[in-house]
Amino acid sequence: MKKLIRIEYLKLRKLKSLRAIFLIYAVISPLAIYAISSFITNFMGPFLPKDWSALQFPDVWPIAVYASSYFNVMMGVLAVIVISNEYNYKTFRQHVIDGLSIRQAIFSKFLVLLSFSLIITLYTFITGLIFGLVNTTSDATVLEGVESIAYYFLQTLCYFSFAFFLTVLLRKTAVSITIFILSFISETILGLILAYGGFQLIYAFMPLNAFSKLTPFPILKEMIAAGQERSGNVPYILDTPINFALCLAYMLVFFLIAYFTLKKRDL
Amino acid sequence: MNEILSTSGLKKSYKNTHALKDLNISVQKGQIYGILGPNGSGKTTTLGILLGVIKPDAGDFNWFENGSLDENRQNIGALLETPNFYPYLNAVDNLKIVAEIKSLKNISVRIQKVLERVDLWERRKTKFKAFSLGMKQRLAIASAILADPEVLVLDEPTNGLDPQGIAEIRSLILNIAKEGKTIIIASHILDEIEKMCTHVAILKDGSLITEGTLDELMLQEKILKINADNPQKLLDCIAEITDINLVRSEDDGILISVNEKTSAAQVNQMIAEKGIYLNALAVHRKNLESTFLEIINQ
Ligand SMILES: Nc1ncnc2c1ncn2[C@@H]1O[C@H](COP(=O)(O)OP(=O)(O)O)[C@@H](O)[C@H]1O
Ligand SMILES: [Mg+2]
Repeated sequence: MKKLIRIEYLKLRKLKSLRAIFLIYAVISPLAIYAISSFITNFMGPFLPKDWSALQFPDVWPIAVYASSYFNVMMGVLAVIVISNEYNYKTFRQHVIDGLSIRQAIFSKFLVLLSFSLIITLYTFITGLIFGLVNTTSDATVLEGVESIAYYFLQTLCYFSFAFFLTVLLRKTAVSITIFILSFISETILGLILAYGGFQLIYAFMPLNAFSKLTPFPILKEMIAAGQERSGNVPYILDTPINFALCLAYMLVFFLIAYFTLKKRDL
Repeated sequence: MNEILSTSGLKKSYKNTHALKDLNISVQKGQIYGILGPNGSGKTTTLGILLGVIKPDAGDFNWFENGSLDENRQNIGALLETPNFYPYLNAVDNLKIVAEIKSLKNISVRIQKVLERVDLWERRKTKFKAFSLGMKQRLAIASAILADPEVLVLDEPTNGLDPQGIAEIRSLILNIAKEGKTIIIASHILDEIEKMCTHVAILKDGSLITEGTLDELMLQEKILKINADNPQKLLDCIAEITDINLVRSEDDGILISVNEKTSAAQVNQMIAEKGIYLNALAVHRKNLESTFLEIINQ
């Protein structure tokens, strides 16, 4: 496994698109956390629960992961690039020729995606931690609400699994990126249509929507409650454990389909 | 261990092509084994199967008398169809990746050695995408010999190169062969196989047409199979004719060899002059060039 990580490191460390995307993430995600927390504080006053304070523990955690989740599509594009490169350059094939087993070659891609997830999760954790430590005035502890970070970690893996799945099926970088992005748009449109017809429950079970609900808008529950009183037609939100299990299942399915497709196919 | 590779009954079909039909070949240590065949005859498919990237529909192959395990490829250096490297990395960085895959020690020393050998050391910091086709091909050979493997597998190693590039690659390969390595080369160019190989297999439409040493297949003689009502008399008569040599007697006829320029009709006449009338006369085997030309022209 160390060998596979070394191989991946050698090929990724000089990849320009990877550097650019990680740099954007590193610079903009803290700004996004800050911007979204100000927005909620300044404009959503009526919905806010008592004692709610954007950049303090524990409320900083849901905000941090919600803001960071905006970068998932971008990170997913990076995943597509990293995997489709191996097709375009035929290096996936060459690695096997040079001596890797097909399983190792696929597994090294899982390792890359896992590392990406770990890196951005850790970064978001540190950013949230710093915001919290600087701003917290109550006696809330650091660890209160920190489970949001775990949901975010799962979410990044979920998006990566979907990117992996699409890239293995489509192979070409441009096509994969386009379909990857279009999937989000088309699922949202479908969701609106379903909602219009009163089928919010079905939408709640669709993969990309389920993934996004791992890091919901920080005061979503409160807003839904308010909406319910007014019109009654509001998004259906699965209970957190159910959604967690659903996402885990989708992730496994995407990864497994990718794995077995690659395993079966000629390189 | 003398048998480097053997295959038995390899088959592979794509949707509507039988790319490979029941291939059986065997390669011994130290041979420079050419797989010769026109485009689409199944050379790349064969090598792809042997290198673990194409899954055969049926059949087995056996490297180093150790089956078809992934670990066998650690001892094989290979170039399949095109040199495959990361375009945004330079020569050294690309070879470092290969070195990791092959679990090599003394990586920088090895990399310098092979890059010097293929005359790319001066260009070691140049990105792969800026390489000319010939340089790419040379880097692929450097990569193939990086681990100092027992076997090299090269698929069309001079494809697309200009005459100078072709000459460079050929002398490089012959040079490597001198170290006693076993080399398997696929090519659609007869001249290339003739100049480099000790053994040849000719492939057409996924079938093995003939296999043998280059000397056998390059025979200046033509081998004919003949028969007559009285085979013993025929044998006696052949012994008297100086232009006809007996190869061997088989159940269904007698194999003779004649000069390549002698036609079948002339053979018939020479024997008829001795009072024996043939009831069968067929060309049994021809030399490499005529076999190959026939395949290509069909
Ligand atoms: N991936 C593929 N899909 C469909 N047909 C293929 C594929 N690869 C090879 N073929 C077909 O199989 C036959 C043998 O191809 P190949 O092994 O590449 O021949 P060669 O290397 O001798 O030129 C050809 O008819 C080719 O068109
Ligand atoms: Mg070929």
